[in-house]
Amino acid sequence: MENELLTQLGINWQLFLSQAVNFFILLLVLTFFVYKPLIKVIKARSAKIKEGLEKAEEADVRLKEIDVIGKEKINQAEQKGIEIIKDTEKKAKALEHELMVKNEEKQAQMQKESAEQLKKMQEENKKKVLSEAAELVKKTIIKTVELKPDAIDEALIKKAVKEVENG
Amino acid sequence: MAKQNKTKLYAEALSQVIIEKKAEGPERSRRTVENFVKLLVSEGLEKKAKEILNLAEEMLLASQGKSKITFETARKMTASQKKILDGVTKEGDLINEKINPELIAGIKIIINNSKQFDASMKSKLQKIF
Repeated sequence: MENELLTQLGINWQLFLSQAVNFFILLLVLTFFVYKPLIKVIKARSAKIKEGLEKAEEADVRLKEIDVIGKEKINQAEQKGIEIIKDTEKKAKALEHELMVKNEEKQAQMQKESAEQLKKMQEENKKKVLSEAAELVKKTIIKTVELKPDAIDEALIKKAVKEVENG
Repeated sequence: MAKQNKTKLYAEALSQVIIEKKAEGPERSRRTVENFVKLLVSEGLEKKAKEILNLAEEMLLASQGKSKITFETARKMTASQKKILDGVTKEGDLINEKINPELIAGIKIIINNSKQFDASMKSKLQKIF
């Protein structure tokens, strides 16, 4: 019955069996020599890709961390920079003030010196004028004496005699 | 101070010797002075000789009650001026007259090289200016 059915279907069970054996042999060959190495290669590739992705992810995370650190550093640097600028401004103001005070002191000293020098010059001029005037008066007196020396001599001699007499 | 005393000592010695030898005449006095000068030279006091002789002269005059008076004037004195000066001199005083034009006018009277009365115009001008 069965054989009739197979015959009606055109299946030769012997051929079928031999083909089945061939198929299994081929399946085994393909399994061992193609499928398994292929799977191995695919798995390895997949693992590599996974590892790559993980590393990329890790790198991304690290990159983000670095970015955060970088931003922090930039913020810190900015803060530090602002502080330095503020400090420098403060120092510059202090220096400016100091220089201003020094300059004022110097100016005051210079003014004082100039005033002293002017006073000295005025005194010297006054002295010179007085000296010249005295010399002129002296010369005038001498000239006057020379006009009538005997009378003046006599008057002075009388005075000297009086001084001698008085001791 | 010691040198001053030495000068005085020599002057006193000379004046005393001259007084003592006065009776023997002026020649003797001249010789005494000459010998005294030689003594000063031998003692190395030739630089002080003038000072010692002046001092001796003053002492000699003082012992006789006389003075050495120097009249320093700017120009030669007139007779009337000299007459005025009679008031400060006495007979026997040793009078020196010196002309110094720098005085301008007036007179400077020096008595025994110790007292000085300066009534010159120069000193008056110096006092004023």
